[in-house]
Amino acid sequence: VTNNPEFGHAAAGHAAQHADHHQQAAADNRTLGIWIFLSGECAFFASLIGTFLALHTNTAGGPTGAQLFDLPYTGAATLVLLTSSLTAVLGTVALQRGNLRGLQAWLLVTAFLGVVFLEFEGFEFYSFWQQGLTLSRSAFGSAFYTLVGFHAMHVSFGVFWLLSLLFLTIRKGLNVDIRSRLYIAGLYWHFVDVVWVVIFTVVYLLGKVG
Amino acid sequence: MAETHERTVHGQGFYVGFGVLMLVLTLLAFFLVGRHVLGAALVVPVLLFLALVQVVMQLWLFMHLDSGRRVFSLFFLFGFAVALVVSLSVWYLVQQSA
Repeated sequence: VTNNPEFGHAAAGHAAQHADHHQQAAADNRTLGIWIFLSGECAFFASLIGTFLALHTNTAGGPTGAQLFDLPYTGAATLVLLTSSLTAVLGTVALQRGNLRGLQAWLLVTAFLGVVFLEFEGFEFYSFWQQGLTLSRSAFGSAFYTLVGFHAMHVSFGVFWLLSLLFLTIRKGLNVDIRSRLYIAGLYWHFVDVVWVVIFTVVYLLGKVG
Repeated sequence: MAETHERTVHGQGFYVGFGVLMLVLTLLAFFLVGRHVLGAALVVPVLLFLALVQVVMQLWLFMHLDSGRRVFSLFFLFGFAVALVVSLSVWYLVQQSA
């Protein structure tokens, strides 16, 4: 935090306080913005999940979910993503304690786990494609790749976001502005994780049950 | 300024315990399906219940991580309600037409 009451005379202190208020207002706007954005994202994923529920039985003679899905594999990917959500929280705890090194370490671990999850997804898509499920093979294929693919795109964007904030903290350290940026990136990451909880239940587990 | 910021609600141990609980619930869901523990009629509502518990727990936790104005997170509940209505009503419509 830039405001240091022991430093300088009253005018300088006042200017610093003013700057702090300004940054706090920007941080509040940002927090409000991310919640409204995530609210819209909820509706976005709900419509994709609804579409999947409507179309998942229309396999048009192509492979079905029950044939394709490999539960231990999806389970491993799920554990990786859930763990990344936990490491993101530990990063937030480090941030609240002003532990810059800890925060940077957790950011790096979280982004790394995100990349591992994306590798799982990539190999899974490749395997399904080899087994004959393409985007245009059936309505099930279109709905599956659109829903899970959009989720993977969100994870990719999150990895990029977390890494860019990691570089920002390396260059500039922590202040009110960077704290609020880290905070909203964390919320985004948790949201993407919550969406995956719904996807692995509705798409994979219920798909396997039939 | 200080009172709206720097609010550590829980320690690391709390979050680690919470995370482990999440992993256990997830493993349980995969185990139920993979080992065919429950009948087809029972397993669907149990899975949906487990997912709902996880989603609500995660949202509750992360909405309370807020470092600023917590009231903002209420906007999210609106989107969440819309999401529930959209996905469940599409499901219902499909069930009806099938």
